Amino acid sequence: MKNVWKPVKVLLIIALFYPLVFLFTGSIMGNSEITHYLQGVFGGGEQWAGWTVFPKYPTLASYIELLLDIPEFYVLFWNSLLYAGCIIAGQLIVALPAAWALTAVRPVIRKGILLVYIVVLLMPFQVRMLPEYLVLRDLNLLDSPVGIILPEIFSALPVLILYYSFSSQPKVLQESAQIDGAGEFQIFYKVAVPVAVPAIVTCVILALLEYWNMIEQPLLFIKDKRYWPLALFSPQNNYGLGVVFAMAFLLAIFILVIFMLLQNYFEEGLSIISKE
Amino acid sequence: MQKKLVKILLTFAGVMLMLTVISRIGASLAVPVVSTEKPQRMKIAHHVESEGEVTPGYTIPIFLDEGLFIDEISVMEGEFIKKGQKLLKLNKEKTDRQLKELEAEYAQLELQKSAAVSEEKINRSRYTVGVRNSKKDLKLAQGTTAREVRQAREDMKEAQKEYKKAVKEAKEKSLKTEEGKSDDNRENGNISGRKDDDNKTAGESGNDTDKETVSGSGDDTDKETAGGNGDEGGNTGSDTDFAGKEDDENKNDELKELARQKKEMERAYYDALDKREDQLHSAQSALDEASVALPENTTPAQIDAQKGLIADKIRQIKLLKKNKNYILSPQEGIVDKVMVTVGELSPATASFIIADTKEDYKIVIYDKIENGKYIAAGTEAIIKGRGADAEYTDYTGRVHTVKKVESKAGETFENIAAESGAEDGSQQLLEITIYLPPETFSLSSLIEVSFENYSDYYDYCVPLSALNQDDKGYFVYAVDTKATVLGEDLAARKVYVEIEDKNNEYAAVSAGSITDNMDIITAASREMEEGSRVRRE
Repeated sequence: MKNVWKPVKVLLIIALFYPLVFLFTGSIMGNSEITHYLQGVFGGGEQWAGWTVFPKYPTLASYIELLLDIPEFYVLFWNSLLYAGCIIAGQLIVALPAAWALTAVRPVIRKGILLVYIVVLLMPFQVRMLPEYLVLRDLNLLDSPVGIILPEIFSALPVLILYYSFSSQPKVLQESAQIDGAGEFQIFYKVAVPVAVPAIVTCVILALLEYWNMIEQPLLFIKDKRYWPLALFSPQNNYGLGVVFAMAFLLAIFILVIFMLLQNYFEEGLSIISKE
Repeated sequence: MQKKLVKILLTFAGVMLMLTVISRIGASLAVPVVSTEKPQRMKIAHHVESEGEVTPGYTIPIFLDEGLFIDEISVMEGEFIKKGQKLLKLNKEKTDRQLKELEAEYAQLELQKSAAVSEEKINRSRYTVGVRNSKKDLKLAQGTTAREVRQAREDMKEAQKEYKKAVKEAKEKSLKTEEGKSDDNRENGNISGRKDDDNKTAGESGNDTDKETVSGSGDDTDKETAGGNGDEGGNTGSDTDFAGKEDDENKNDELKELARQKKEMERAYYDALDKREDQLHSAQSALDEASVALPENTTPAQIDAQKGLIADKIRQIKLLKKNKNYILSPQEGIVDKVMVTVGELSPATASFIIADTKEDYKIVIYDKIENGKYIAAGTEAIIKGRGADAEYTDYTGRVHTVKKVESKAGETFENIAAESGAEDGSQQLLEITIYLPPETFSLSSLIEVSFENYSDYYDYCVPLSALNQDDKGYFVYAVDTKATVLGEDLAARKVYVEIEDKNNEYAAVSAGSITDNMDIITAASREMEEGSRVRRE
C-alpha cells in the first residue's frame, strides 16, 4: 500500500510546487517567449495558451531589471513589509493581553465573547468592507496606511489562537510563579508569553501570509499609489511580463523561506490549537 | 534558531535596502532632466544672415581709341585715383606711327573728297545742258511742225477752193448749153433735166460731203461719184453737139485732176498733223528724260564723316602726345576694373571702370529664394564689416530692391544654388541690393548683412528646441503631474501642434491643445517618449 501512495505523493508534491516552477520559468524567459506561450491569454487570439518548463533562451534580464531598474518595486516591498510588520505587531500587542484576559473572566462571559469572535472571524472581508470604509472615512483615515493597518490590528484570529494557547498552559506554572512572588503582569510577561511562543509564531505566519498578499483593502481604501503594497505591482502593465513573473517568484520565495524557518513553531502552535 | 532567523531577516533587509538605494540612484540617473518654459505671446522675428561685397553704386567707364598699343598700366584695381592721374602709357613709336597713318588717311580722304566734288559739278552741268537742249528741241519741233501743218492746210484749202470753182464753172457752163438745146430736146431735156435735177441733187449732196471731209471726216469716193453722175447727166444732154462734147470731156478731165489734187492736199495736211504729233512727242520724251533729277551724291558727306572720325583720333593722339603718351583719369574715384593688358591693343569696349567715390556704394547679396518672404524693399538691414579706417563697424540700412534672378552652374553664387538642391545647379535666387553712404565700408570688402523682419503677434510661441516631429506631425512635450508609486512625478506628454510661423529661435504654434499655463519642455538631458518620467532642473 505504501508503494502505491508514493508516486501519488510525488505527483501531489509536483502539483503543489508547479506554481513556483511556473513562476521561475517565466521569470527567466524573455518577454517575446512569454508572449508567444501566453498568446492565448494576453494576445486575444484563438489559439490555446501553452507553457514550457525549459525556456528556449533563458535570461536573468527580468531580475536585473526588477532589482536594479524599477525603484517602484522597492517602494511596494517596503510598504508591504510595513503593513505586515505593523499589523502583526499591533495584533500581538492587542491579542496577547486580550487572550490573557479571556482566560481570567468568568466562563459564561468568556463563552459569549468567544462566540462573537468566531462569528466575526467567519465573516469574509466583503461583509466588513462597507462598514470599514464608512468608519475609515469618518475617521479621515482613507488614503492612509493607518487606514489599512488599524482595522487589521483588531483581528479575532490571533486572540482566539493565543487564548487557546494560554488556556492550554498548565495552571501549576502560574501558581509556581505566584508562590515565587511574581505579580500578575510578571506571570503574563515572564511565564505565559514565553510558553505561548509557538502560538505567537503561528499567528505571525498566518498574519504574514494574509497581509503580505492583501489586495482588496489597499485597492479600496488607498488611492495614493505611494501606499500600495507589493501585491498591486502585477496589475501595473508598464513592465514586461518577465518582470512580473520575477516579482511574483521573489514574493513567493520570501514567504516560503520565512515559513520554512518558522515551520517548527508553526506546527507546534497548530497542534496546541487543534488539541483545544 | 532565533538568532539564525534574525540574521537571515536582517541580511535580507540589508540587501533589499541596498538594492533600493541602487535602483533609486539608477532611476534618478535615467530620468531626463528637463527645462520648461510657458508659451509666450510674442512677435516672431525673422532674422536672415547673409554675406556680400561692397561694390560701387555708380561707375564711370573710360574708353580709349581702339587699337592703341599699351606700354604700361599705372593703376591697380581698388586703387584710389585723383582727377588727372595717369592711368596708362601708350607706346610712343607705335602711337607716332599710328598718328602718321591717320594723317595720311586724312589727306587721302581730302583728295577723295575733292575728286568727288568735281565729279559732282560736271554731272550737274551736264544735266543742265541736257535739259536746256531738250527744251530747245521741243520748241523747235513745235514751231517747225506748226508751220508745216499751216502750209498743208493752206494748200489743202487752195485745192478745195480750185476744185469748187471748177465744179461751179462746169455747172454754169452746162446750164448755158442746156438752155440752147431746150427746144429740140424738150422732152428728152425734160427727162434729162429731171435726171440733171436728180444729178444736181446728188452733186450738191456730194459737195456737202466734201465740206464735211475738209473739216476732217468726208468720203472722197462719194464726192467723185456724185460729180461724175452729174457730169454724165450733163453729157447726155449734149450728145448732138460734137464740139460741146469735146469741151465737156476736157472739163471733166480737169475736174478729175483737181479732185485728185484736192485729195492729195488733204492727205498731205493729215500727214503733216501726224508728223507734228510724232515730233512733239519725241521732243517731249527727250525733255522728260533729260529732266530726271540727278541722284544725290553722298560720297563727299561720307568722306567728311570719315574725316571727322580720323580728325578726332588725330586730335586725341595729339593730345596724348602732349601728355607724353599718358592717359589721364577724367574723374576722381577708385579703380573698379582694369580691362586692358600691357602689350596688347586697347579694345573697343571700356578700358577702365572707375567707381565714383562721391556717390553711394552698393551691396548686392544673393540669397535663397525662400528668404524672399522675409526680405522686401525697405526691410531693415544691419551691415557689419570693416570700414574705410579698417575698424570693424556697423551700419543700419534699408533694402533698396529685391528681385529674382536665375543662377546657372558655375556662377559666383552657385554655392547657394547647390544648397538649395537644384539638380543642374541652376536655381532661382534672390538678388538684394542695398545702398549705403560712400566710405562707410571699404570697396570690395566682405560684409555680413542681417535682415530683421517682425511678424504680427502670435499667442503661443515656443522655443524651437521644444519642437519635435514624428510621422503624425510636429509636437511638443508638455509636463504633466502624474501620481505614481514613487509619489507625484512629472511626466512628458505629447501635444501635437501646427506651426504658423517660425524663425531660428521660436515657433508660433496654433492654439488648440496648448494652453497659457502649460509647461513646455524646451530641453532634456535624455531622449523622451510619451509618459516618460522627467524632472526639472
